[in-house]
Amino acid sequence: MNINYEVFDSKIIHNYLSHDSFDYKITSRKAIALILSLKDYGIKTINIYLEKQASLVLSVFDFTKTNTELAINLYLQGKEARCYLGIATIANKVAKKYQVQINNKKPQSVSELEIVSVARNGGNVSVNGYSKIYRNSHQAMVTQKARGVVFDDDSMIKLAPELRIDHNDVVAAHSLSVGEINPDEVFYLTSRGFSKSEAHNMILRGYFRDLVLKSHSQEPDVLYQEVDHV
Amino acid sequence: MEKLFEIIDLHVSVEGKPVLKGVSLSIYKGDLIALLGPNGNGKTTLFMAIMGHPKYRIEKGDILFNGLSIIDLTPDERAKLGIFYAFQNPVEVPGVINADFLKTALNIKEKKPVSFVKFYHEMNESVSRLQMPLEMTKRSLNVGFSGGEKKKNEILQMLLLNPSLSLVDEIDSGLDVDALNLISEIIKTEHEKQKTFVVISHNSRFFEIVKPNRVIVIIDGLIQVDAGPEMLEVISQNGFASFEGVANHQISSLGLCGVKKGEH
Repeated sequence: MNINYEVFDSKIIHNYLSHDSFDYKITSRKAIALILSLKDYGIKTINIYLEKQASLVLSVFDFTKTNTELAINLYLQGKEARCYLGIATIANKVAKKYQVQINNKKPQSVSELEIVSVARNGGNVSVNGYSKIYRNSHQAMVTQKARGVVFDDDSMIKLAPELRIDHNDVVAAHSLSVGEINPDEVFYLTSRGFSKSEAHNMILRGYFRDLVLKSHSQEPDVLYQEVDHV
Repeated sequence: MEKLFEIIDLHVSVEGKPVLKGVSLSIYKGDLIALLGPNGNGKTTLFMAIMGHPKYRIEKGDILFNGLSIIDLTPDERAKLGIFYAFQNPVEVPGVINADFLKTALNIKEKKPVSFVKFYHEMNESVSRLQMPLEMTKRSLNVGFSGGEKKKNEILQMLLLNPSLSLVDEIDSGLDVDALNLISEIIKTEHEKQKTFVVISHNSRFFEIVKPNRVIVIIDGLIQVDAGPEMLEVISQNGFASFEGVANHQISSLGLCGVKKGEH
Protein backbone atom coordinates (compact mmCIF):
# COMPACT_ATOMS: atom_id res chain seq x y z
CA MET A 1 0.00 0.00 0.00
CA ASN A 2 1.59 3.28 -1.10
CA ILE A 3 1.02 6.16 1.29
CA ASN A 4 2.52 9.59 0.92
CA TYR A 5 3.81 10.51 4.33
CA GLU A 6 4.48 14.01 5.51
CA VAL A 7 7.80 13.68 7.31
CA PHE A 8 8.66 15.42 10.59
CA ASP A 9 11.92 14.93 12.41
CA SER A 10 13.15 15.92 15.86
CA LYS A 11 14.34 19.30 14.66
CA ILE A 12 10.88 20.24 13.45
CA ILE A 13 9.06 19.16 16.62
CA HIS A 14 11.86 20.27 18.90
CA ASN A 15 9.62 22.52 21.01
CA TYR A 16 7.31 19.67 21.86
CA LEU A 17 10.08 17.25 22.69
CA SER A 18 11.61 19.37 25.41
CA HIS A 19 8.51 18.75 27.56
CA ASP A 20 7.86 15.62 29.56
CA SER A 21 4.97 14.53 27.41
CA PHE A 22 4.32 14.69 23.70
CA ASP A 23 0.66 14.47 22.66
CA TYR A 24 -0.34 14.40 19.05
CA LYS A 25 -3.47 13.69 17.07
CA ILE A 26 -3.42 12.59 13.45
CA THR A 27 -6.61 13.62 11.85
CA SER A 28 -8.64 11.63 9.41
CA ARG A 29 -6.79 10.54 6.22
CA LYS A 30 -3.55 12.29 7.19
CA ALA A 31 -0.28 10.36 6.93
CA ILE A 32 2.59 11.40 9.18
CA ALA A 33 6.10 10.02 9.61
CA LEU A 34 7.71 11.12 12.87
CA ILE A 35 11.41 10.55 13.38
CA LEU A 36 12.47 11.02 16.96
CA SER A 37 16.15 11.00 17.66
CA LEU A 38 16.16 11.14 21.44
CA LYS A 39 19.44 12.99 21.68
CA ASP A 40 19.25 15.65 24.37
CA TYR A 41 15.50 15.40 24.90
CA GLY A 42 13.95 14.66 28.26
CA ILE A 43 10.66 13.36 26.98
CA LYS A 44 8.96 10.72 29.16
CA THR A 45 5.65 9.95 27.45
CA ILE A 46 4.40 9.97 23.88
CA ASN A 47 0.66 9.70 23.24
CA ILE A 48 -0.54 9.64 19.65
CA TYR A 49 -4.15 9.30 18.54
CA LEU A 50 -5.08 8.17 15.04
CA GLU A 51 -8.45 8.95 13.57
CA LYS A 52 -10.22 7.26 10.69
CA GLN A 53 -7.81 6.19 7.92
CA ALA A 54 -4.97 8.11 9.52
CA SER A 55 -1.48 6.66 9.08
CA LEU A 56 1.56 6.98 11.27
CA VAL A 57 5.15 5.87 10.96
CA LEU A 58 6.83 6.59 14.28
CA SER A 59 10.54 5.81 14.42
CA VAL A 60 12.39 6.27 17.66
CA PHE A 61 16.17 6.25 17.44
CA ASP A 62 17.70 6.16 20.87
CA PHE A 63 21.46 6.09 20.53
CA THR A 64 22.06 8.40 23.46
CA LYS A 65 24.67 7.66 26.08
CA THR A 66 22.24 8.42 28.89
CA ASN A 67 19.51 6.42 30.59
CA THR A 68 16.12 6.50 28.89
CA GLU A 69 12.71 5.83 30.35
CA LEU A 70 9.96 6.32 27.83
CA ALA A 71 6.32 5.32 27.52
CA ILE A 72 4.72 5.27 24.08
CA ASN A 73 0.97 4.90 23.74
CA LEU A 74 -0.68 4.71 20.35
CA TYR A 75 -4.45 4.76 19.97
CA LEU A 76 -5.90 3.59 16.67
CA GLN A 77 -9.31 4.99 17.39
CA GLY A 78 -10.60 5.39 13.89
CA LYS A 79 -11.57 2.69 11.40
CA GLU A 80 -8.72 1.65 9.05
CA ALA A 81 -6.15 3.63 11.02
CA ARG A 82 -2.68 2.20 10.65
CA CYS A 83 0.62 2.64 12.42
CA TYR A 84 4.16 1.41 12.35
CA LEU A 85 6.26 1.93 15.47
CA GLY A 86 9.98 1.23 15.19
CA ILE A 87 12.25 1.50 18.20
CA ALA A 88 16.00 1.32 17.66
CA THR A 89 18.12 1.51 20.74
CA ILE A 90 21.69 0.89 21.84
CA ALA A 91 22.47 0.73 25.53
CA ASN A 92 26.19 1.22 26.04
CA LYS A 93 26.85 1.26 29.81
CA VAL A 94 23.36 2.76 30.35
CA ALA A 95 19.79 1.55 30.85
CA LYS A 96 16.97 1.92 28.34
CA LYS A 97 13.47 1.23 29.49
CA TYR A 98 10.46 1.35 27.19
CA GLN A 99 6.83 0.77 27.90
CA VAL A 100 4.81 0.50 24.70
CA GLN A 101 1.06 0.16 24.36
CA ILE A 102 -0.69 -0.01 21.02
CA ASN A 103 -4.47 -0.02 21.02
CA ASN A 104 -6.27 -1.31 17.95
CA LYS A 105 -9.69 -0.03 18.85
CA LYS A 106 -11.49 -0.06 15.54
CA PRO A 107 -12.16 -2.42 12.63
CA GLN A 108 -9.51 -2.92 10.00
CA SER A 109 -6.94 -1.02 12.03
CA VAL A 110 -3.39 -2.16 11.39
CA SER A 111 -0.47 -1.87 13.77
CA GLU A 112 3.11 -3.02 13.52
CA LEU A 113 5.65 -2.84 16.31
CA GLU A 114 9.32 -3.46 15.55
CA ILE A 115 12.02 -3.27 18.20
CA VAL A 116 15.72 -3.60 17.49
CA SER A 117 18.05 -3.28 20.44
CA VAL A 118 21.68 -3.72 21.33
CA ALA A 119 23.27 -3.88 24.77
CA ARG A 120 27.00 -3.61 25.38
CA ASN A 121 29.48 -2.87 28.16
CA GLY A 122 26.99 -3.60 30.90
CA GLY A 123 24.13 -1.85 29.12
CA ASN A 124 20.57 -2.84 29.89
CA VAL A 125 17.52 -2.74 27.61
CA SER A 126 14.02 -3.49 28.74
CA VAL A 127 11.04 -3.17 26.41
CA ASN A 128 7.50 -4.16 27.25
CA GLY A 129 5.42 -4.14 24.10
CA TYR A 130 1.72 -4.57 24.66
CA SER A 131 -0.71 -4.62 21.73
CA LYS A 132 -4.41 -4.91 22.26
CA ILE A 133 -7.14 -5.65 19.75
CA TYR A 134 -10.43 -4.44 21.15
CA ARG A 135 -13.79 -6.14 20.90
CA ASN A 136 -15.54 -5.57 17.55
CA SER A 137 -12.29 -4.58 15.85
CA HIS A 138 -12.93 -7.07 13.09
CA GLN A 139 -10.22 -7.64 10.50
CA ALA A 140 -7.69 -5.77 12.61
CA MET A 141 -4.05 -6.75 12.09
CA VAL A 142 -1.30 -6.65 14.69
CA THR A 143 2.34 -7.67 14.37
CA GLN A 144 5.14 -7.43 16.86
CA LYS A 145 8.76 -8.13 16.04
CA ALA A 146 11.56 -7.82 18.56
CA ARG A 147 15.26 -8.51 18.09
CA GLY A 148 18.14 -7.99 20.45
CA VAL A 149 21.90 -8.41 20.38
CA VAL A 150 23.88 -8.71 23.58
CA PHE A 151 27.60 -8.04 23.26
CA ASP A 152 28.90 -9.29 26.58
CA ASP A 153 27.99 -11.17 29.76
CA ASP A 154 27.50 -7.96 31.74
CA SER A 155 24.80 -6.64 29.39
CA MET A 156 21.18 -7.61 29.35
CA ILE A 157 18.18 -7.31 27.06
CA LYS A 158 14.66 -8.09 28.17
CA LEU A 159 12.06 -7.89 25.43
CA ALA A 160 8.52 -8.73 26.34
CA PRO A 161 6.03 -8.62 23.49
CA GLU A 162 2.47 -9.23 24.62
CA LEU A 163 -0.76 -9.54 22.66
CA ARG A 164 -4.25 -9.24 24.01
CA ILE A 165 -6.98 -10.14 21.56
CA ASP A 166 -10.64 -9.56 22.35
CA HIS A 167 -12.04 -10.31 18.91
CA ASN A 168 -11.95 -13.41 16.71
CA ASP A 169 -11.82 -12.14 13.17
CA VAL A 170 -8.28 -10.69 13.32
CA VAL A 171 -4.69 -11.39 12.30
CA ALA A 172 -2.01 -11.25 14.97
CA ALA A 173 1.59 -12.41 15.08
CA HIS A 174 4.68 -11.84 17.13
CA SER A 175 8.31 -12.93 17.07
CA LEU A 176 11.23 -12.46 19.40
CA SER A 177 14.91 -13.24 19.20
CA VAL A 178 17.81 -12.23 21.41
CA GLY A 179 21.34 -13.46 20.88
CA GLU A 180 24.98 -12.60 20.60
CA ILE A 181 26.57 -10.92 17.62
CA ASN A 182 27.32 -13.64 15.09
CA PRO A 183 31.05 -14.45 15.34
CA ASP A 184 31.02 -15.86 11.79
CA GLU A 185 29.86 -12.48 10.46
CA VAL A 186 32.63 -10.76 12.42
CA PHE A 187 35.27 -13.17 11.11
CA TYR A 188 34.03 -12.76 7.56
CA LEU A 189 34.41 -8.99 7.73
CA THR A 190 37.74 -9.09 9.55
CA SER A 191 39.06 -11.46 6.90
CA ARG A 192 38.46 -8.59 4.46
CA GLY A 193 40.51 -6.15 6.51
CA PHE A 194 37.85 -4.70 8.83
CA SER A 195 39.08 -4.32 12.41
CA LYS A 196 36.84 -5.98 14.98
CA SER A 197 35.30 -2.64 15.90
CA GLU A 198 34.77 -1.67 12.24
CA ALA A 199 33.14 -5.06 11.69
CA HIS A 200 30.84 -4.55 14.67
CA ASN A 201 29.82 -1.12 13.40
CA MET A 202 29.07 -2.40 9.94
CA ILE A 203 27.02 -5.31 11.29
CA LEU A 204 25.10 -2.98 13.62
CA ARG A 205 24.40 -0.55 10.79
CA GLY A 206 22.94 -3.51 8.92
CA TYR A 207 21.00 -4.51 11.98
CA PHE A 208 19.23 -1.13 12.11
CA ARG A 209 18.96 -0.70 8.38
CA ASP A 210 15.35 -1.84 8.04
CA LEU A 211 14.22 0.63 10.67
CA VAL A 212 16.13 3.48 9.07
CA LEU A 213 14.58 2.66 5.68
CA LYS A 214 11.08 2.46 7.10
CA SER A 215 11.50 5.77 8.96
CA HIS A 216 11.39 7.84 5.74
CA SER A 217 14.43 9.71 7.04
CA GLN A 218 16.03 12.00 4.52
CA GLU A 219 19.30 11.88 6.47
CA PRO A 220 19.91 8.16 6.95
CA ASP A 221 23.68 8.67 7.05
CA VAL A 222 23.31 10.83 10.14
CA LEU A 223 21.49 7.99 11.88
CA TYR A 224 24.13 5.45 10.81
CA GLN A 225 26.87 7.72 12.09
CA GLU A 226 25.12 7.85 15.45
CA VAL A 227 25.25 4.04 15.51
CA ASP A 228 29.02 4.19 14.92
CA HIS A 229 29.52 6.56 17.81
CA VAL A 230 27.73 4.60 20.53
CA MET B 1 61.81 -18.63 -6.88
CA GLU B 2 60.98 -16.07 -4.21
CA LYS B 3 59.51 -17.61 -1.07
CA LEU B 4 56.29 -15.84 -0.13
CA PHE B 5 54.90 -17.98 2.58
CA GLU B 6 56.15 -20.65 4.94
CA ILE B 7 54.36 -22.95 7.33
CA ILE B 8 56.58 -24.64 9.89
CA ASP B 9 55.51 -27.74 11.82
CA LEU B 10 51.98 -26.42 12.26
CA HIS B 11 49.76 -28.12 14.80
CA VAL B 12 46.18 -26.86 14.95
CA SER B 13 43.28 -27.99 17.09
CA VAL B 14 39.60 -27.19 16.83
CA GLU B 15 37.65 -27.25 20.09
CA GLY B 16 40.37 -29.37 21.67
CA LYS B 17 40.58 -31.87 18.83
CA PRO B 18 43.92 -32.00 16.96
CA VAL B 19 43.35 -31.54 13.22
CA LEU B 20 46.69 -30.48 11.78
CA LYS B 21 49.53 -32.53 13.20
CA GLY B 22 52.72 -30.98 11.93
CA VAL B 23 52.23 -29.36 8.54
CA SER B 24 55.29 -27.81 6.91
CA LEU B 25 55.01 -26.10 3.58
CA SER B 26 56.74 -23.41 1.55
CA ILE B 27 54.78 -21.37 -0.98
CA TYR B 28 56.63 -19.43 -3.63
CA LYS B 29 55.53 -16.30 -5.43
CA GLY B 30 53.54 -17.29 -8.49
CA ASP B 31 52.69 -20.77 -7.21
CA LEU B 32 49.30 -22.19 -8.02
CA ILE B 33 48.92 -25.07 -5.64
CA ALA B 34 46.14 -27.64 -5.75
CA LEU B 35 45.46 -28.60 -2.15
CA LEU B 36 43.79 -31.97 -2.15
CA GLY B 37 42.78 -34.66 0.27
CA PRO B 38 39.77 -36.56 1.53
CA ASN B 39 37.04 -34.55 3.26
CA GLY B 40 37.64 -33.76 6.91
CA ASN B 41 41.41 -34.21 6.82
CA GLY B 42 42.54 -30.62 7.41
CA LYS B 43 42.45 -28.62 4.18
CA THR B 44 39.96 -25.96 5.28
CA THR B 45 41.49 -26.01 8.76
CA LEU B 46 44.82 -25.04 7.19
CA PHE B 47 43.17 -22.08 5.44
CA MET B 48 41.30 -21.01 8.57
CA ALA B 49 44.48 -21.19 10.64
CA ILE B 50 46.34 -19.10 8.07
CA MET B 51 43.55 -16.53 8.12
CA GLY B 52 43.45 -16.50 11.92
CA HIS B 53 39.99 -17.81 12.73
CA PRO B 54 39.74 -17.73 16.54
CA LYS B 55 38.25 -21.23 16.72
CA TYR B 56 41.33 -22.74 15.09
CA ARG B 57 43.97 -22.84 17.79
CA ILE B 58 47.61 -23.03 16.85
CA GLU B 59 49.21 -25.40 19.37
CA LYS B 60 52.67 -25.41 17.88
CA GLY B 61 54.58 -24.17 14.87
CA ASP B 62 54.69 -20.95 12.92
CA ILE B 63 53.37 -19.26 9.78
CA LEU B 64 55.64 -16.81 8.03
CA PHE B 65 54.52 -14.33 5.39
CA ASN B 66 57.40 -12.62 3.62
CA GLY B 67 59.60 -13.90 6.44
CA LEU B 68 57.49 -12.43 9.27
CA SER B 69 55.49 -14.52 11.72
CA ILE B 70 51.78 -13.83 11.44
CA ILE B 71 50.39 -16.18 14.07
CA ASP B 72 49.94 -13.39 16.60
CA LEU B 73 48.21 -11.11 14.09
CA THR B 74 44.44 -10.62 13.99
CA PRO B 75 42.55 -11.69 10.84
CA ASP B 76 42.27 -8.09 9.62
CA GLU B 77 46.02 -7.58 10.03
CA ARG B 78 46.63 -10.70 7.96
CA ALA B 79 44.18 -9.47 5.32
CA LYS B 80 45.98 -6.14 5.19
CA LEU B 81 49.23 -7.99 4.44
CA GLY B 82 47.58 -9.28 1.28
CA ILE B 83 46.16 -12.66 2.31
CA PHE B 84 42.67 -13.40 1.04
CA TYR B 85 40.44 -16.35 1.87
CA ALA B 86 37.60 -17.16 -0.53
CA PHE B 87 35.17 -18.99 1.73
CA GLN B 88 33.74 -22.40 1.00
CA ASN B 89 30.52 -21.21 2.64
CA PRO B 90 30.41 -17.41 2.41
CA VAL B 91 28.65 -15.88 5.39
CA GLU B 92 25.39 -13.96 4.98
CA VAL B 93 25.38 -10.54 6.66
CA PRO B 94 21.83 -9.15 6.71
CA GLY B 95 21.38 -5.43 6.21
CA VAL B 96 24.95 -4.80 5.06
CA ILE B 97 24.74 -3.70 1.45
CA ASN B 98 27.23 -5.50 -0.75
CA ALA B 99 28.51 -2.34 -2.47
CA ASP B 100 28.92 -0.52 0.88
CA PHE B 101 30.86 -3.48 2.20
CA LEU B 102 33.07 -3.60 -0.89
CA LYS B 103 33.74 0.13 -0.82
CA THR B 104 34.61 0.09 2.88
CA ALA B 105 36.91 -2.92 2.39
CA LEU B 106 38.63 -1.10 -0.46
CA ASN B 107 38.98 2.09 1.63
CA ILE B 108 40.59 0.04 4.40
CA LYS B 109 42.97 -1.62 1.97
CA GLU B 110 43.94 1.68 0.35
CA LYS B 111 44.16 3.34 3.82
CA LYS B 112 42.14 6.27 2.46
CA PRO B 113 38.66 6.82 1.04
CA VAL B 114 38.55 5.70 -2.56
CA SER B 115 36.61 8.08 -4.78
CA PHE B 116 33.17 6.90 -5.74
CA VAL B 117 34.03 7.16 -9.44
CA LYS B 118 37.13 5.00 -9.09
CA PHE B 119 35.30 2.47 -6.94
CA TYR B 120 32.32 2.28 -9.26
CA HIS B 121 34.59 1.86 -12.27
CA GLU B 122 36.56 -0.96 -10.64
CA MET B 123 33.49 -2.67 -9.28
CA ASN B 124 31.65 -2.43 -12.57
CA GLU B 125 34.62 -3.85 -14.44
CA SER B 126 34.90 -6.84 -12.10
CA VAL B 127 31.15 -7.40 -12.01
CA SER B 128 31.11 -7.47 -15.83
CA ARG B 129 34.04 -9.84 -15.88
CA LEU B 130 32.15 -12.19 -13.59
CA GLN B 131 28.94 -11.76 -15.60
CA MET B 132 27.10 -10.80 -12.43
CA PRO B 133 24.06 -8.53 -12.50
CA LEU B 134 25.03 -5.16 -11.00
CA GLU B 135 21.85 -5.40 -8.95
CA MET B 136 23.61 -7.99 -6.73
CA THR B 137 25.86 -5.26 -5.37
CA LYS B 138 22.80 -3.45 -4.06
CA ARG B 139 21.58 -6.41 -2.04
CA SER B 140 22.50 -7.45 1.49
CA LEU B 141 25.86 -9.19 1.56
CA ASN B 142 25.34 -12.81 0.40
CA VAL B 143 21.77 -12.83 1.73
CA GLY B 144 19.49 -14.81 -0.56
CA PHE B 145 22.32 -15.37 -3.04
CA SER B 146 22.39 -18.76 -4.71
CA GLY B 147 25.44 -20.95 -4.12
CA GLY B 148 26.93 -19.85 -7.42
CA GLU B 149 26.22 -16.16 -6.76
CA LYS B 150 27.98 -16.39 -3.40
CA LYS B 151 31.04 -17.89 -5.05
CA LYS B 152 31.09 -15.19 -7.71
CA ASN B 153 30.83 -12.60 -4.95
CA GLU B 154 33.91 -14.10 -3.29
CA ILE B 155 35.84 -13.74 -6.52
CA LEU B 156 34.51 -10.20 -6.94
CA GLN B 157 36.03 -9.33 -3.56
CA MET B 158 39.27 -11.04 -4.53
CA LEU B 159 39.52 -9.01 -7.74
CA LEU B 160 38.83 -5.72 -5.97
CA LEU B 161 41.17 -6.34 -3.05
CA ASN B 162 43.94 -7.68 -5.30
CA PRO B 163 45.69 -9.87 -2.71
CA SER B 164 49.15 -11.34 -3.11
CA LEU B 165 48.07 -14.74 -1.74
CA SER B 166 44.59 -16.14 -2.37
CA LEU B 167 43.33 -19.19 -0.52
CA VAL B 168 40.41 -20.45 -2.57
CA ASP B 169 38.24 -23.04 -0.85
CA GLU B 170 36.06 -25.20 -3.12
CA ILE B 171 35.08 -22.27 -5.28
CA ASP B 172 33.65 -24.74 -7.80
CA SER B 173 30.94 -26.10 -5.52
CA GLY B 174 27.56 -24.67 -6.39
CA LEU B 175 28.70 -23.43 -9.79
CA ASP B 176 27.08 -24.47 -13.03
CA VAL B 177 29.37 -25.51 -15.85
CA ASP B 178 29.48 -22.05 -17.46
CA ALA B 179 30.20 -20.29 -14.17
CA LEU B 180 32.86 -22.88 -13.35
CA ASN B 181 34.59 -22.22 -16.67
CA LEU B 182 34.34 -18.47 -16.15
CA ILE B 183 35.79 -18.48 -12.64
CA SER B 184 38.47 -20.99 -13.58
CA GLU B 185 39.53 -18.72 -16.45
CA ILE B 186 39.63 -15.71 -14.11
CA ILE B 187 41.86 -17.54 -11.63
CA LYS B 188 44.06 -18.67 -14.50
CA THR B 189 44.34 -15.10 -15.79
CA GLU B 190 45.14 -13.72 -12.34
CA HIS B 191 47.75 -16.42 -11.87
CA GLU B 192 49.36 -15.39 -15.13
CA LYS B 193 49.89 -11.98 -13.52
CA GLN B 194 52.19 -13.71 -11.01
CA LYS B 195 49.55 -13.86 -8.29
CA THR B 196 49.86 -16.76 -5.85
CA PHE B 197 47.04 -19.21 -5.22
CA VAL B 198 46.32 -22.22 -3.09
CA VAL B 199 43.08 -23.83 -4.23
CA ILE B 200 41.00 -26.61 -2.80
CA SER B 201 38.80 -28.40 -5.28
CA HIS B 202 37.49 -31.86 -5.98
CA ASN B 203 36.66 -30.97 -9.56
CA SER B 204 39.00 -32.21 -12.28
CA ARG B 205 37.40 -29.83 -14.83
CA PHE B 206 38.52 -26.91 -12.66
CA PHE B 207 42.13 -28.12 -12.68
CA GLU B 208 42.05 -28.68 -16.44
CA ILE B 209 41.70 -24.91 -16.79
CA VAL B 210 43.65 -23.42 -13.89
CA LYS B 211 46.61 -25.81 -14.27
CA PRO B 212 48.38 -25.92 -10.90
CA ASN B 213 52.16 -26.18 -10.84
CA ARG B 214 52.08 -28.15 -7.56
CA VAL B 215 49.82 -30.69 -5.97
CA ILE B 216 49.71 -31.14 -2.23
CA VAL B 217 47.73 -33.84 -0.50
CA ILE B 218 46.74 -33.60 3.15
CA ILE B 219 45.66 -36.77 4.86
CA ASP B 220 44.94 -37.03 8.57
CA GLY B 221 46.38 -33.59 9.27
CA LEU B 222 49.70 -34.22 7.55
CA ILE B 223 51.04 -33.43 4.09
CA GLN B 224 51.48 -36.80 2.46
CA VAL B 225 52.30 -35.58 -1.03
CA ASP B 226 54.00 -32.50 -2.41
CA ALA B 227 54.36 -33.18 -6.09
CA GLY B 228 54.06 -31.77 -9.58
CA PRO B 229 50.86 -31.41 -11.60
CA GLU B 230 51.15 -34.95 -12.97
CA MET B 231 49.94 -36.11 -9.56
CA LEU B 232 46.43 -34.95 -10.47
CA GLU B 233 46.09 -37.74 -12.97
CA VAL B 234 47.40 -40.29 -10.49
CA ILE B 235 44.89 -39.16 -7.89
CA SER B 236 42.13 -39.08 -10.43
CA GLN B 237 42.80 -42.72 -11.22
CA ASN B 238 43.76 -44.13 -7.82
CA GLY B 239 42.09 -41.84 -5.29
CA PHE B 240 43.76 -40.96 -1.99
CA ALA B 241 43.77 -44.34 -0.33
CA SER B 242 47.21 -45.29 -1.62
CA PHE B 243 48.79 -42.26 0.09
CA GLU B 244 47.55 -42.88 3.55
CA GLY B 245 50.47 -43.54 5.86
CA VAL B 246 52.98 -43.10 3.07
CA ALA B 247 55.78 -40.64 3.72
CA ASN B 248 56.49 -38.09 1.01
CA HIS B 249 59.91 -39.54 0.18
CA GLN B 250 58.28 -42.88 -0.55
CA ILE B 251 55.96 -41.47 -3.20
CA SER B 252 58.43 -41.86 -6.04
CA SER B 253 59.06 -45.47 -5.11
CA LEU B 254 55.35 -46.09 -5.64
CA GLY B 255 55.82 -44.88 -9.20
CA LEU B 256 53.62 -41.86 -8.61
CA CYS B 257 56.00 -39.28 -10.10
CA GLY B 258 56.30 -37.48 -6.75
CA VAL B 259 58.80 -34.83 -5.85
CA LYS B 260 60.21 -34.22 -2.43
CA LYS B 261 59.33 -31.19 -0.41
CA GLY B 262 61.59 -28.26 -1.14
CA GLU B 263 62.44 -29.28 -4.70
CA HIS B 264 60.95 -26.14 -6.25
